[in-house]
Amino acid sequence: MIELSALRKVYPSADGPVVALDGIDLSVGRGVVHGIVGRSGAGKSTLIRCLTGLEQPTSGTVTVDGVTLTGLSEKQLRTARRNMGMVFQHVNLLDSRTVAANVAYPLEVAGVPRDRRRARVAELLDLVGLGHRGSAYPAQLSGGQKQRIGIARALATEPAVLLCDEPTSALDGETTRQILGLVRDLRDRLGITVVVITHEPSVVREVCDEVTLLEHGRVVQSGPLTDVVTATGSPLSRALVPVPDLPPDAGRHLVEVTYATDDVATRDAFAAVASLGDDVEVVSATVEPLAGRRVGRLLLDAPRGGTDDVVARLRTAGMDPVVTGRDGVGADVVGTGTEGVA
Amino acid sequence: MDGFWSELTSNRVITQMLPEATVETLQMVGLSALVTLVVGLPLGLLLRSVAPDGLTPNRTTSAVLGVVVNVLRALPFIILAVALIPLTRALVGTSLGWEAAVVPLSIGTIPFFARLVETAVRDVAPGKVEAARVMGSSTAKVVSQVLVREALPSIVSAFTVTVISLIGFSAMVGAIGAGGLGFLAISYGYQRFDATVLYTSVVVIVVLVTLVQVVGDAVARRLDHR
Repeated sequence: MIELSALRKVYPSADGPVVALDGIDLSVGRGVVHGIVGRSGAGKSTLIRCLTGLEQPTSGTVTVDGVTLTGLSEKQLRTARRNMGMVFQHVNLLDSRTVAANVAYPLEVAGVPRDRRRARVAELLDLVGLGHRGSAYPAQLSGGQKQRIGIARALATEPAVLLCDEPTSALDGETTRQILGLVRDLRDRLGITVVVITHEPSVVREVCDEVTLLEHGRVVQSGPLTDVVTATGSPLSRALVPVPDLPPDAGRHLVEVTYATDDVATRDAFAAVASLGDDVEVVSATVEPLAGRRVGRLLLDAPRGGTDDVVARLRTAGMDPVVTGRDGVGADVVGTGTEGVA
Repeated sequence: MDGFWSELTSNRVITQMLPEATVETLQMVGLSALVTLVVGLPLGLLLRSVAPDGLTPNRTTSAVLGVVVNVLRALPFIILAVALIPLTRALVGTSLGWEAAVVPLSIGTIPFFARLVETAVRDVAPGKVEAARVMGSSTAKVVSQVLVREALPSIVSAFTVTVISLIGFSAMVGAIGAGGLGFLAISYGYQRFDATVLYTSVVVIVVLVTLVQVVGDAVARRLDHR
């Protein structure tokens, strides 16, 4: 559905060129919810702007639903954009229009006749559970309701792709869960392909099937959620399966292991750890529901020089441990704080 | 009070000239306001569009328009009005009367209104423009449906301020032959020491200004759904 190939974007600046995207290859299949995470300035926003054609890449190609966006004229791009819906962090509804007129806007742009517009708007408002608020103005809605309207508007032209740029970063926890539930539900019902840009690990955990980590404009890690989180020691497994803080007296030579409970039962994992003897301490651990399974992550403090032995013995138990320093275990690769669109 | 009312109803300048002067003021302000709206609104939108962060940035146009607007705004209005007499004669055929006054009045307020429109439109959140563009809007659609529509309450307020300053300017051009309430107040009230004429003209002007403000505020409030 979405194909990015060798995508590069370089911005000129006073201090020389800034490379925002440095050779991105990415493929997102139909009906998949794909998360794109990374710190501020990793290139997430540039990537989504290239997907919408608002930004022309310096080199490489962007193909959405069989249409290659690179090299299209402005007019062709405008038509191509009707096959994409976009949801923004700050929603960006027009305050001067009622809720129904906001949802109707993309249909007006697409030249849909008035009576068909009205029917479609009613359908869309029902779809997001706000069928009764059509005549309200955006200022009269709560943040969560506004974002529902933003989603209804994005779906108006029946796009094949829904792009979400930090869709829940301005919302509270419960509203976030509702909005993400709606996105997942829409994917299931409409078979739409969704790209979610986020800095919140919880968004990836709740809604994504696949995830890509960007850093300095490059793909650091990418794949199905279940694969990336069980890749022990990988940046995404650390970000998505966080463990409680280590005690201050934890040693500097730690063994880290991440496993899915349908591969290794937690009971067996703990038994394997217990068999390592009294010298090995579990300094932090968690078992979290993720991507329809449960994922465990353990950090063991092994005695000096004993890490290789611990690794070997856990491997026999079917796990894939790595030796790590204590600095890396909580690696914050996703970053914190909210980001704007630009 | 009786003396004032009898003076008001017996003063021939007031009974015979004030109604006509009021109509003249309304005509010159009305027509100038219309011209200002028709020329100033697009000019303000153009100023915003060609700005470096506008929809269609154009450094040269931006610089040239900026200089023209600033120069026109920097000139004190009364000097501009006198300097424009030759142009007024060329356009209207005379430099006297309310029709002639429309030329300096419009030229004096267009840059002022255009700047206010530019500011109003600049306050529209960039995210709304971005959203409209992602939804496939053409530049014309972004300007009409997003920039103008979202800024409309501010544009109405800007137009209210503009019309009020036009009423003030119209009194000034009255002094150089345009007629209207300004002319009446200066030549009959001030120069002939007729305080009743002077203050009655002032009261009518104050009433006009108040009406414009009240109507403008009501319209802006009605349009504002933020």
